[in-house]
Formats: sequence, structure tokens, C-alpha cells
Amino acid sequence: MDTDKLSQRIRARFDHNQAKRVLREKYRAKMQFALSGGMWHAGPELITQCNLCLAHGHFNPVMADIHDNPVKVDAEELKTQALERWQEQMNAWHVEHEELRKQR
Amino acid sequence: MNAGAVIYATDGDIKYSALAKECARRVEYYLGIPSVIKTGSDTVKSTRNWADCDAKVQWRNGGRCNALVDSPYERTILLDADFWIASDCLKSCLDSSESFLAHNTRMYINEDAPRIEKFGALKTEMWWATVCVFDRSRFTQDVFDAWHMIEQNYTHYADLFNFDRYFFRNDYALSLALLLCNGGERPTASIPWPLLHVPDTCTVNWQQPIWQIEYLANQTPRRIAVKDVDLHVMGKRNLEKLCELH
Repeated sequence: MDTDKLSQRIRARFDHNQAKRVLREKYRAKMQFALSGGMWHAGPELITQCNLCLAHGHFNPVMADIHDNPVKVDAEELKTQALERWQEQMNAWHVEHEELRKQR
Repeated sequence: MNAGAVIYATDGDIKYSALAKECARRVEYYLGIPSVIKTGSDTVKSTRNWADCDAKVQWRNGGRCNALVDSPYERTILLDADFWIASDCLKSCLDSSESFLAHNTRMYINEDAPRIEKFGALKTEMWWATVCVFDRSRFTQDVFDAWHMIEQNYTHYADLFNFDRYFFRNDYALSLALLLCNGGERPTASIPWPLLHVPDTCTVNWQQPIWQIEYLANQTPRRIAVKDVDLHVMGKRNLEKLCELH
């Protein structure tokens, strides 16, 4: 056992703030998805937009994707996929965040 | 959809062919698509220093501009062999209808936020050639033609945009090609998350499925652990570690 390496490793403190930042970027990436040729970010904003369209009877609205391309979508399908992905990834983020908090 | 990956690997100081095989395996496992491994140009384009290596490392990075010709697929992911895929995030780019996607933002694993890198005296925005997703459209053809032209006349473009002419970078050539093909305007479509780099100043230890990454922050040793995240691993020592894994 290389004691120098061992002591250096013990001294290297776990960087919680940095781990949290990397985790945020990882889950932001996982919240992107493609549908109807557009690229979308699953989150409250998109879900609210879909809800608004559906509430007013616009079932196939044209919406701007993250690249600002207008895309004709099925609002119900987009909402379902966005909601599922958002919650799935938020749950995974939460689990991993809790694991990281225990790291020393 | 007929989709797949093209990975370029030319052995030199680092056994990129070994890395490319592992990269292809990971592409199939995480993205569910096939790959082809291509040997890039054998010409040493330049040498570069890495923080973790005393001697200069030879750099053979030419020929990426042939990726469209080399790809047998309708939609292709062009990957550097040292890009370590550990998630299915890139699937969304395969399903997108955008003709050409590359990373515009990057974040070093020990940095506080994603940034857009700029190069040359004109502070031209950089688009990373590490991961590109493209179709076979006219626009994509134009991008690769421009990329090829810039590689062939690199000194001219280096003088024009005032950047280092001695060290060929595909990132610069791609950035200028995209700029040209967008009529001088900033391209709007990009891979919508940052490219995560593990710089050569970090030390990586792979304890499947977790990466332990150590670095210095204000001369103090720090570490983080990451898993299931795509990483661009830099540094000779770190890449040799990846080679040894397989």
C-alpha cells in the first residue's frame, strides 16, 4: 500500500458543491427529448404550455421547440411525455442527490 | 431510422484504436446503434503539451471532415474515441430533425458553470467537434465541404481569424464551417446541454459504475464522484488508464 497516495486520498475532501453542479447538468441533459421532429425540455414550462393549449381546445398547436423551430405537435402526447420524463428524472436526481450528501 | 456512429482513431502516443473499440461497445450498449471505426489521417498535424505528461504528445487529428463520406448511415453520430458514453442522452439528438448538431457549451468537471468558449482575435464562438450528429442533407454536405476546405487552407483561416496556425484544431475548423454555412450568422441549433470535459489536470479512477475524479481547487485536493454521465476525457495519463481497462 502506498501510504503517500492513501493519505493524499484521505485529505482530498469530497466537493459537495461541485458534485451538485455536475449533477444538475447531468439531469438537465436527461430532460431533453425529441418528438414530432422538434427538441423539447421536459419541465413545468412546457407542461403548462401544453395544458393551456388543451384547456382551450387546441389539440394540435404549433409550438416553438428549444431551437426556436415552430413544430406542429399533438399537445396531449407532448404533455404526457414531458410529464413522465420530468418526474422520472427529478426522482432519479433526488435519489442521487441524497446519495451524494452521504459522501465524505 | 438507419442510424449509427462513426469513430475516428489513429494510434500514436496513445492507443486510440483500443479506446475506439470500447467507445463502439458503449455506443451499442447505451444508444442501441452500430458503429464503424475509421482510421484517421496518419499525418502528425502538430504536437501538444498535456499537464500530466512531460514530453509533447503527437497529434493526428486530420480527416474528420470525411465523416459524411465515411458514414454508411442516414443519421450519424461522429465521436472522438476518448468520449466516454455512459447514458442514452444522445438518443434525443438522433431523433431530432435538425440537420447538424454539435456542442456549443462546455463545462470542465471542476468548473462552476457551463461556458461558451471563444477563439481568435475576433472572439469567434466555438463549436466542439468531439460529438457531432448529422443527416445527409444539403446543409450537412455544405458543412463538411467547408470543413474540408478550412482544413486544407488552415493557415489562411488562422491568419484571417487570428488564431494559432501551428496547432490544427477540428473545433476551430468546424466552428468556421458552421459560421460559413449559416451565412456568417451564429448557428441556432446545438446539442442542448454542455459537453463535460475531464481536463488533463484531473486524475480519474474508474470504480464501475462510478468515476472518482480528483483535482486541485486553490491548491487543495478535492474530489467528486459521478456516474451515468457522458464525459470527454483528456490527458495522456487518464486515457492510458482507460486503455488499461480493456
